Amino acid sequence: MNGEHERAQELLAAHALHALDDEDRVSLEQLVRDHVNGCDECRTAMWSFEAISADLALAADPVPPPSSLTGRLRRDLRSPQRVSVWARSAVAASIILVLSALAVWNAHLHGLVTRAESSQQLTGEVLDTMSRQDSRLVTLGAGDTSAMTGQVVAAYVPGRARMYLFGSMPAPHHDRVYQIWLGRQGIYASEGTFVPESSGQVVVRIMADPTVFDAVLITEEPASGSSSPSGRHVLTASL
Amino acid sequence: MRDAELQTRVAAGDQAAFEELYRRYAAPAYGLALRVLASEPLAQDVVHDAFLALWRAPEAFDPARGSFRSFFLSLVHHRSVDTVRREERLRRRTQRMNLQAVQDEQDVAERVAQDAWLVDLRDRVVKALETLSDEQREVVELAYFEGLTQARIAERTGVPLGTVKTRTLAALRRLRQVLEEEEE
Repeated sequence: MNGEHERAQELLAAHALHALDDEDRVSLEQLVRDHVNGCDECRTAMWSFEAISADLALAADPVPPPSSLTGRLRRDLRSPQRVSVWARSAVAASIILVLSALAVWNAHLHGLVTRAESSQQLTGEVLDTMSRQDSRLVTLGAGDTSAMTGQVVAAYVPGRARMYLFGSMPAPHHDRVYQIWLGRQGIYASEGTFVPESSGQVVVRIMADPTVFDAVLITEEPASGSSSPSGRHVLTASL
Repeated sequence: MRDAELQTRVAAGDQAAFEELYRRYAAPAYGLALRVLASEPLAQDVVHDAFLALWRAPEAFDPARGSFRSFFLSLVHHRSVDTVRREERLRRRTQRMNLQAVQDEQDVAERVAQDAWLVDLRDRVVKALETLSDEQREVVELAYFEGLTQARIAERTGVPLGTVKTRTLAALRRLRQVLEEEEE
């Protein structure tokens, strides 16, 4: 048992420094499920290591950013991408347009992601989610600032084991697909792959409780999908 | 006003609260991003994106999971490391800029204007790092500030991967012990 603590904490320490290699990341995912989640000692170590890692940032000399950055940020704060309560009705209206144009559900999803029985049913589910007062709407932002990424919103109701991603994206490169990941503390689990409609429209239902995770990520991967997010980070958001 | 309270106001759309958080954390965040990325444009992108994410998805911060400071600086660090790994060319030593020169150009008065508690915490972290052995400090710095994975650290230093892992764990345990002792 001590060996398991040591092994887990060794991986947690590397994870906290963001220094895990892919192979060890897979091992850590397994250990978190099988051991860490039920081990007070290792969970405490995990939180401590994460906090220490964050504080290490302070060891770098603080440098005030140039005033141009402040100006750029203030400009971007005024952009309409912040999804607020007052904007929900507008977003709901736009989703109706998106869904009414959705001729064929074209997401090829594995695992927890299910194919929609019909676009009509999916329309109802998404609108039901959007209309609830306790729903959350999160706009995904560009994972790679130089890339053309499209616009996608995640919608979910905390406590319900499903989340919807909708919007539009450009087609992935030849022989590539988009892959959805839900992450927690930097550890990502695949929620399936998809290809947008030829028109670029995307509507995906994910059968998972997003409140268990702290991030959603869409990457571009080989057609067979990947075991970890290794391709271009296209869109991402904190949950 | 405490960070968590400011963050609550940010979630309600209070731009003044956002600007106060920016005032507190822009310099540590930019300093960190510069140290990892050694590139002003990339560091500005990282800090810009991190603050914008804070504004656009403020619910991402959950006080139950830790302090705002930890949350935000972790976000900046992760984005910095992800960026440096995508920009392999930045690893070439010959392209690394002279960070000291950059820092000397900054307004010293602004740096001194950091909140006292943040300056105090920084002193504690620097002193805690000094308690590590040279070998332990090397693996922490290569991982955290150079963005190297443990396999790359083993390659760079010629130390077996298993040793890199045990040194990393020992280093974080030591830092934990020192910093927690100081808090008591």
